[in-house]
Formats: sequence, structure tokens, C-alpha cells
Amino acid sequence: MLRIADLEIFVDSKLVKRAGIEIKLTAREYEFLVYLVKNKGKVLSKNDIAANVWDVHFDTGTNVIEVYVNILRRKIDRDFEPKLIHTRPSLGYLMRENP
Amino acid sequence: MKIQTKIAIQFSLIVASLLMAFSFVIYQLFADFREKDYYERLRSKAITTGQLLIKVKEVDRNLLKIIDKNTLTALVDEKVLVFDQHNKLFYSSLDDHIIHFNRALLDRVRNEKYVESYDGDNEVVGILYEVNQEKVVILASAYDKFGRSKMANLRNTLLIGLLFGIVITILLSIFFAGNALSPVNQFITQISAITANNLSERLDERNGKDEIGWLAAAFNKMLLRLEQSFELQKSFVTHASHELRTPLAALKSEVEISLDEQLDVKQHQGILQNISKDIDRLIALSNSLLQIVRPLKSSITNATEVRVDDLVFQAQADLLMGKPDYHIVVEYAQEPENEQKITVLGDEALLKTVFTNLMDNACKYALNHQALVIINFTDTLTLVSIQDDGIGIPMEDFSRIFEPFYRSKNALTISGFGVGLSVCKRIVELHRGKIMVTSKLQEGSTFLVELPNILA
Repeated sequence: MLRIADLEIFVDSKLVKRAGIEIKLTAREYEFLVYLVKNKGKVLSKNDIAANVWDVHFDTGTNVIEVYVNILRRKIDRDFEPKLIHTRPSLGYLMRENP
Repeated sequence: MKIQTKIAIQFSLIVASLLMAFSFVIYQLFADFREKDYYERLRSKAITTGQLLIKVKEVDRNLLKIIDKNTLTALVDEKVLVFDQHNKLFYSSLDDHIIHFNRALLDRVRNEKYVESYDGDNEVVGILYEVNQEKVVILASAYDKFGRSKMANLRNTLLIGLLFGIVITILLSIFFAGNALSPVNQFITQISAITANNLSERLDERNGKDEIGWLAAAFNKMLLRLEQSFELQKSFVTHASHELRTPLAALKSEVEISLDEQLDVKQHQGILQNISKDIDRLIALSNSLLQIVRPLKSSITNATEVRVDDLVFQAQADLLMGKPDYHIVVEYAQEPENEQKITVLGDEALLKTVFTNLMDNACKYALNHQALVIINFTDTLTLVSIQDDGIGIPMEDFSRIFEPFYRSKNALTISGFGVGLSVCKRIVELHRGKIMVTSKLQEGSTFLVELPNILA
């Protein structure tokens, strides 16, 4: 099981909970979140994310990763505190409990 | 029973019973009228007799008899009898006739004062006439010769009219029913002649302005659909067997070579690799043939909520796994602030097939195997467009490329079966969506898939 703050990921059942509430994610959102949580505290560039979550050569010039980050934020961060996903402009994204 | 016969019989029965009822009523009314009229005449005769005999002193029995015998207006077989208080015959207008009467009738007259009755064919009227406390009964009877002959005449006329009426009705109803139904009989002949070999025959729609015309039009529409699906099936079988034969023939020749000639291990390996490629081709072909048949079901049985962008990424990953030289760029046209707008209700596997097919096509026909996929949405629709910069599609083929096995002439150098787009179209339509194409020769094509989202 992976955990950051009150976000829990049950790897066996692919179940995600924030503050005990189950959060529904698509397969790719789940992969993305797992990748972020496994690398919590690290700034992850779009290239890192593309290579690890989409695992194909991916054109990082598109807005796909931004869109996915925003979708994830809406699902796991919007209604909860503290915020977990943070943007480091022109560097990438990172996940940690304090901003 | 034939409808023609049925209609004729029903119509004839209705008209015949109407005619009969009508004739019967006329005859009955006339009979009533005659009877009343005649009784009235007999009554006045009886009263006249009573008055002459009793009130007018100058007239006695003999004189009255003379008067009676010589009256020009005398009725046929006329008899007037007068009885005194003791039911004794007091006066008879005819001496030389046997006079029948019975006491019961006389008593009835005394009771009821006025009685209408019969004596054989003759009408009889009895009245009670009171003079000086003397109650006499006057019976007048006669035969209504004219009335009865008029009745007979009327009866004959009505019967003949009835007979003619019925015969004419039967003939006309047979004629009209036959006339009205003759196009149906024509249909039957024409339809019986239509077999699998001449499904292109059509029925005569006769301006289509009545039920028969509508029937013919509806039938023609059905024939058209039958013909189309029949053609589809025929071309399916033809194409399928043709497509299957090519890789099979290649396989056979490769196996023959490796059997006949003395080859070293490397050459054998080369042949086996070729065989493996051919088998892949066969698998791909049978898969697409299956896809053509499978979505023929009229509804989706296992519909779930599916995120369209997720399908796109899945399709992308699947494609790149087998064809690493493909390059597929995915983009969102706008940020989906509500993921329901890019979520559709549908069969995940089928919808993935759509995007896999479209992306595969785009990369296949593009010069550098590159395709751009743009995910967009409106309030009710999820839109996915797949663009390539490939050879393009001639404008006149825009509608036909979605037909099974149709391939544009400029695409013939690139391998394919012509089934992918028809499969896509069927799947998308199964999801109440639309698939459209815009293209320019040598500049590329854009396929747009519109699917109603779950908010729709």
C-alpha cells in the first residue's frame, strides 16, 4: 500500500482513497498517480512522466500531461487539504504534503 | 376464402337484407292501409243500412233489399245482415245466398260495440246499433277484390324488384371487389416471381396515392434493403475468400519451397519468418472479418461509462506496441473541466477498435507514419479527430469509403482489406454517433468521430 498524507493507494486492488473516500480513476490516471506517489518529493519533468506513465515515445509538446495533472488535482486535491500535487513552473510537477 | 368473394358476399347480403326489409315494410304498410280503408267502407255500409232500415220509416226490408241489389257502388260479395235483440235474423241483403254467421261473433259485437273480423277471404264488420232501447247487430261483409289484386300486384312488383336488385348487387360487388383487389393479385404474381436472383425487380407503385400504392412502396423499400444486405453478404463472401486466398497461396508456396529444396538453416529461418508474416496477415484479416460481422447486433450489450481519452491512449499504446515506427500525437483541444463531457456510454472494446482502426489508417497512409489526434467536446458530444498528412481521399469517394471492402483507387498500393472504416462506421452508429471525413488529395485526411457523452 502506498500512502501520502491521507491519500492511500491499495496496489493489490488498485483502489484509491483520500480521507477514507474512494476515488475513481481511469487506468492511466491511476498509473500517473502511482508514479507521482512513488516519487514523492521529487520534481518530475514532463519527459519523465511521459516516459514512465505513457511508456512510449511521447510528444511532450502537447497538453496531455497538463490535462491529466488537472484531472488528478480535481479528483484528489480539490476537495481536500493539504494539497498534494504542486507545479514547479518550467521544471515539472512534484508531490508532497507541504507546499 | 378469397377476400374478393368475402367482400362480394358481405356486400350482397347487406344490400339484399336492406332491400328485403324495405319491400316488407312497404308491403305491410300497404296491407294495413287497405284493411283499414276497407273496414271503414264496410262500417259506413253497415251504418247506412241500419239507418235506412230503422230510422227512415219510408224504407222497409223489401225496399232496402231492392236498393241494396241495385246499388252501383255495391262491394264484391257484399252481404249485410241485421239481427234483432234475440239474435234472430231480421234482415238479409241477399236471400239466395247461404249466410254464415256464428253466435259468438254476435255476442262479441254486443260486448264490444264494434268488431272487425274475417270470414274466409272476406272482411266482416259488426256494429251494435241502438234504436228505441232496441239493440240490433248489423254485420256487413264483402270481398275486397280491388284491394287484394292491388296487393298481389304490389307483391309481385316488389318480389321481381328484389330479385333483380339482388342479382345486380351480387354481380356488381363481384366486379368491384375484383377490380379493387386486382392490383393485389398482380402483386402476388410479381412477388412470386422475385427470387434471390432478381432482387432488383420492383413492384408497380401506381402513383403511390392509395393503400395499394403505399403497400407497393413499402414492399419496394423492403426489397431494396433485402437486396442491399444480400449484395453486402455476397461481396463479403467474395472479398473474404479472395483476401484469404492470397496469404494462403503464399503460405503454400513457401512451404513447398522449403520442402522441395535443400536449404540451410538460415534460408529455412527466412522462409519461416515469411510464413509467420503471412500468418499474422491471416490473423489480422480474420479479426477484421469478425469485426465486420460482430457489431451487426442492433444494440450494445455490455455498455459501460468509458473515458474517450483513455480509449485513445489505450489504442495508441496498442498500435505502437506492434508498429513502433508509428508516431501518434494526442492533444486536448480544450481542458476538460468536467470529465463527464469526455465520457460516453458504450462498449469499451468496440470503441477502442474505432480509434485503433482510424489511427492505424492515418499512420498507414501518412508519409512519415505520423497522425495527430485531437480530443474535444461540446456540452453533449465528445469529439475525436484523427488527422494525417497522407495521400488523401478523392472527394467522390467520401461516402463510399465507409462501405465494406471499398478502397479508393489511390490506396491500392498500400495493403489493406477495406473493412476498417466500415467497421468504424457501424460501431460509431451503434453508439448513436457520427463519423465524418474531410480530405484533400496529397494533403491528408481528417476523420471526425462524434459520440454523445453521458450528459446528452
